[in-house]
Amino acid sequence: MNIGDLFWFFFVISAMQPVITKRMLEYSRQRMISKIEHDRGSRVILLVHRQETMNFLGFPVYRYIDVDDSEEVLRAIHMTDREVPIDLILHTPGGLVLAALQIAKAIQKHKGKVTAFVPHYAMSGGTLISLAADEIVMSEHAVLGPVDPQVGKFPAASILKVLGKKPPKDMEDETLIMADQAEKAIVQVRESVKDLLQGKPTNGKADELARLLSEGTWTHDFPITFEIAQMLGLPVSSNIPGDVLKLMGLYPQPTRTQPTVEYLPVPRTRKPEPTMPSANG
Amino acid sequence: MSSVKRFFKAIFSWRGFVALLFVLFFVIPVIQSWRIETLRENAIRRLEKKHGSRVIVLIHRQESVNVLGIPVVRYINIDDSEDVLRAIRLTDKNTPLDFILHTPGGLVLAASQIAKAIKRHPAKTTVFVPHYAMSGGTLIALAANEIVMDPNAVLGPIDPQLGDFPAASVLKVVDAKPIGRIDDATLVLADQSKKAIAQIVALAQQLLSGKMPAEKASAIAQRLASGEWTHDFPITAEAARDLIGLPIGTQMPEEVFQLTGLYRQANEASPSVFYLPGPRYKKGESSGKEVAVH
Repeated sequence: MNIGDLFWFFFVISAMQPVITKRMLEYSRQRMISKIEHDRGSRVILLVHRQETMNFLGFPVYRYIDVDDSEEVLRAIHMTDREVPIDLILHTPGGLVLAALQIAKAIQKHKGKVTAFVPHYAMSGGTLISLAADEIVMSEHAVLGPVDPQVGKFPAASILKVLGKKPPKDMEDETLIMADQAEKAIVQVRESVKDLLQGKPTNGKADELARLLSEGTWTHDFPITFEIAQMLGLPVSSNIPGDVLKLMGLYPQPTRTQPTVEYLPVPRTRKPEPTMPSANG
Repeated sequence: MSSVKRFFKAIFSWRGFVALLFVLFFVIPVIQSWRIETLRENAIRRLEKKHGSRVIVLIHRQESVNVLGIPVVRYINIDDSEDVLRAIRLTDKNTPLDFILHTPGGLVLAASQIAKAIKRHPAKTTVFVPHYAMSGGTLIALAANEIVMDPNAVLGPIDPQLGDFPAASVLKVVDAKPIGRIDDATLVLADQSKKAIAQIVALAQQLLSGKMPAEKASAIAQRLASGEWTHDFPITAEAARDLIGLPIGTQMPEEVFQLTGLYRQANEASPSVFYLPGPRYKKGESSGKEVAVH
């Protein structure tokens, strides 16, 4: 073997390295999913939107729940026997109402128990999907969000506020057009939420809860923490299985040149007292 | 030993490298696309054989990414209607039509052309909606003798959109404001809106005629086109049947799902939905056999 051979060898190995890493990641994901499925006797579906990936030209691409996602989720549900429990792991900023609602309705119809796991966040459309589940399992610091609809780039509820304050003759035409859509959108989402909460143990508060979540009580990015969700009467629990968190760790942010958060990925436990006596003198 | 060495020599040489690149970048994609093409053809043929019909597939994936990485939104356009009309023309008058729709909608002109051609077809026409057929897609579905939806699939309202605005909402402005304070542009839009809504209502009525009493057809057309809901409102199979009164079946053949599965976006860069493929059964039941249909 001469230098040239060595060079080619090195070249081929380094060219194949990303492919091999990707395969290995895929393999460990599959193993983790099948472990959870085996332990819980369920079908596991993940819906993970990493906020930002760079496309070919370096423009950021924002990911959200779109119709392709809802199709894929519905395909998975379709392949699941009606009695088999479904574990849905959500990590999403939300997305199209249509797509989220389609997933939510399919979950609601499912006979077996449906559990929504929220390891980190499931805003807007993600929350809408969670509301359809029989149980929402959040990690201690995970958040849900309000489901008030957005028209264009404005929250529907805020557009309606303008309508309430100004006489229509002084409003811009475009605002009036949006207000008409906003009015319909809010009613539709509210009714959908009410429908999703039907038969859930929200002790008759479905109506109030639907209003609270869909009529712009908060801004659209308001974090509904575990405590607030509990107060609202949502069927939340906080004992998220360690395996789910481990699985999420296998879906890292893709193609980021410079990570912004760094730490050593090993657990830290408090040691039984005096380890470094000299530290604080 | 020497043969191994010769083998490696062959790989780690210029010529071997070029051959490897050639295989990687040219041969494999061609084989892959050829394979998926054959699978699709076989799936369509299977369905045609089973139903003794002509199968036409109209699938618009929300967003495919072009060479520059800019997402392309697909919708029903004139090219689509032209292709569909050609397929219908190639179909014998006595052969049933099976239409598989998966679309967010599109141009009213193109959709109405397709719808009218379906309506005119003498043999039985069926529209299958495995996931969604909004707006223009719903208009096409109205033309068929039978609409078959998956229990989770949705249709949408057919109220026309002018530019970014729903026609119905533009008309609301004219009602809410004194005419002297409305922009000229809005008034122009309002005039078009009025015509567009009337035209769609008439078209929907015509598509539904012969399948139900005239009053019912007119009521359904009004309801779908008058902007009672936002344009993205999902009308589920149940709602379409019970609230709106459309004749809807829910016995979706498994082949249709297999077929749409073959039109998934090829090698999507980073998918966002993950699950292990394959059906899941309740414990104790026979597993791994035929896929259970709901």
